[in-house]
Amino acid sequence: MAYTLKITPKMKQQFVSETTAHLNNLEKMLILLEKSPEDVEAINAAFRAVHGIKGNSDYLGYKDLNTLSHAMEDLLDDLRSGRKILDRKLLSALLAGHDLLRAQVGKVTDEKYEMADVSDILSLLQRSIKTAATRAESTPERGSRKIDKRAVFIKAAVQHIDFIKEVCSALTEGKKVQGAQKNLLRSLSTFHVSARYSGFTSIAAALLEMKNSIADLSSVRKKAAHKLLAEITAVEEMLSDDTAATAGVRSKKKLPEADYTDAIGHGIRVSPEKLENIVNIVSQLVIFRNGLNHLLLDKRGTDGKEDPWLKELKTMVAAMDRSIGQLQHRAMDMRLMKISILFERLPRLIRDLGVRSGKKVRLTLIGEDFEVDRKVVDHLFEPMLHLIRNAVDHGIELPEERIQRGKADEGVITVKSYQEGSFAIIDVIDDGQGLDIERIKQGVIEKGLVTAEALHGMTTEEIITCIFMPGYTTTARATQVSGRGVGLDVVKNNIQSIGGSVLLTHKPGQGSRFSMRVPLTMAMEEVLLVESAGELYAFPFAAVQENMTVSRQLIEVMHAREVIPYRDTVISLRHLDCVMGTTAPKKLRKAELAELAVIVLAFGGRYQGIVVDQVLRRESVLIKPLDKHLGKIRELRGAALMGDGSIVFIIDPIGLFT
Amino acid sequence: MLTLSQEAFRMKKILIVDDSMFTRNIHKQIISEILECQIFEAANGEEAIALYQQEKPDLVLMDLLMPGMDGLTVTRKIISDDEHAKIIICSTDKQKFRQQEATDAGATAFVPKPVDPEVLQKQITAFL
Repeated sequence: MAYTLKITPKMKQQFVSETTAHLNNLEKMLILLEKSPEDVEAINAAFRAVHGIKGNSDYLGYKDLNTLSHAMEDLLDDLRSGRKILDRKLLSALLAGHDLLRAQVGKVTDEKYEMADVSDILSLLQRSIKTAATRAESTPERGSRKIDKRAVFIKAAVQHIDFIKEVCSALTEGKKVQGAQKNLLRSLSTFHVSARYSGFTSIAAALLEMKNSIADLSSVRKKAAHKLLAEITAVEEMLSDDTAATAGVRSKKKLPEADYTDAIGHGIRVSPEKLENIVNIVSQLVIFRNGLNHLLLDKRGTDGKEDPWLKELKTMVAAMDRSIGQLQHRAMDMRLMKISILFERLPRLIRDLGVRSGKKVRLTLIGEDFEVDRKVVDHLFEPMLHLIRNAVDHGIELPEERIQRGKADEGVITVKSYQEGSFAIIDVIDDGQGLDIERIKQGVIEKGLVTAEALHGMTTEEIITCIFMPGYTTTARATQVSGRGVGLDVVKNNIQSIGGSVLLTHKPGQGSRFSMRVPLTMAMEEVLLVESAGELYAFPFAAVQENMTVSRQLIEVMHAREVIPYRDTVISLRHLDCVMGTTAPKKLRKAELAELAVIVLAFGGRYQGIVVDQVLRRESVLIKPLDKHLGKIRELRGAALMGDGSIVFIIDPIGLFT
Repeated sequence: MLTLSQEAFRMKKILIVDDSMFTRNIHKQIISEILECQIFEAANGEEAIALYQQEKPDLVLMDLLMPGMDGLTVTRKIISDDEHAKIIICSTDKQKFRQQEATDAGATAFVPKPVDPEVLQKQITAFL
């Protein structure tokens, strides 16, 4: 009796994760091929991706996925072997196939898999391959043959290099090598001839020189061997530069493959839920540790002398403390992902947006690649897409308009990523028309978001921030690109929900820039504990610029606000107990105190002083979001459970800025 | 009196080489259905060679198309170190020339992918 495979839910997840990686790669390659259809390596990488998908789908038993990936693999095989030439129609068909695959893969983990009808796509693929140009009969598979010649050379070259290196290293160590000179000459000579034949002229020249340099010696000794060794290493480097576009023969030297292959097979894939579990347990452990520290804090010996047992316990706890700290660090590390994962699918998005809107758009990705919390990545993705759609739709002008304005007909959207302290910043910049202030004003009034009088008193900057208000949208018709009934307020909320902020700057006629600033990590956060009117509060440590004591005499009153000199400017002061409503404002003037404890918060280049009763200590806590009632208070970001079991509010520094 | 050698009691070791974890799990399932054995997994050629040297498995299931070193190269390397290595090539490359190449490289057998569980099981029992 035939044995049927059991596909467990876990295996389905594996399938989805592997296939998604393949699909990302495929998409990347297809976009690359749109620009350079002759890129053999991209075709090979695309083939490998589809091949991987097909291989796995053979076992999964979902017919639509299997049939479609088979058809796409056949087609890519035709391209790979050089039987057919890639054209636009074929590329669109492949992209359409990719889209359907992706949509279906998204359903694999559904309780009931909904089969898709692939017949349309299949006939589209078949039609396009039929009309695609065939390579001329007289020179069959010319492209692939050329590549084969190179590949054969590289294989041989690697062997030659290894051999020459081996012999030379032995000689430099003073070992005797039988027939060294004869063998080196033979190797160099064959190597040289095949390099010349395969078109690697500079390598050929270098080899010839090497050959000549030892041809007339009576024997190859240490000094000559040293020279040869250096020269052959140089040749090896030249070879890797030359073959940067050809498949890596030598996989340990990660030369050319790196650009095209995903990190499949490197490291293990762990499901986010499992990781989350570990992080949660570690977070709890940290809280227990804080509790233990708290218990030990005031323990001395009974009669003032330190109890040896207690001393021992404290040492142990201190050691455990360090280990837990490391564990916490590592656990957080595991959750980190490269920020560049956000940008993987952008080239495709930009391409589609351009096609749909009739605008010419180019994407530039700049900045650093660094690691951020997986959750941050999740929260950033949708907002970023929204901003990009927005930029294409409202920012970038139509080609003819751009030419009229003296710009290049092709608009540029730049996505920039960089790190600033413990924050990640993603900028979405366009070189379009910037914001139309009059239109924003009109929109705001029409929607009844702000009254005309109020608008009159607003600065341009304040008017601009109106576009983040719920219910705001300028375009009367919802465009296909950005109009989805979702406004910029959603972007803002999403970013703020993870403790970030969105900043918008623009230059009329020259473009605009949306800056999303989010913390690199979530969950455990370093806070500064303070006391104010008998209550404990915590400030996110990253937002605290400085804490200091200020003499009363330094306080001045300007525009009915207390200010103090800070660096070469003055900053306004707010009393935390007053802000929190725990003390009546009139009781604030603590004339009896000569000095005040002030925390200086920094945000967006601005400073704000906060007066507290006492600065206690720094601690790392697990921040929990507040429920819906407390969550609306703008001064509060969340709450944390402290070591002694009490709950402390985490202050949202931005909320305290006046 | 019947005596069994130590060898007969030792659990068989099988090494599965495939870049897809999903596929490795499928193969694992097929094998464990017929055989109680120790299974090792490698996701690429380098890992496979290292694991082979360390564990000296009784049988290897080898994928052909993998990132980095391809299955045939890995097969050749393993065979050159251990001429008695038993390697079954599993690959979607159904073309005949692939089978020939596999045999030339020293592989014991060629099983086309998608693997028919019964075919693979027969091959495994035949060579162990």
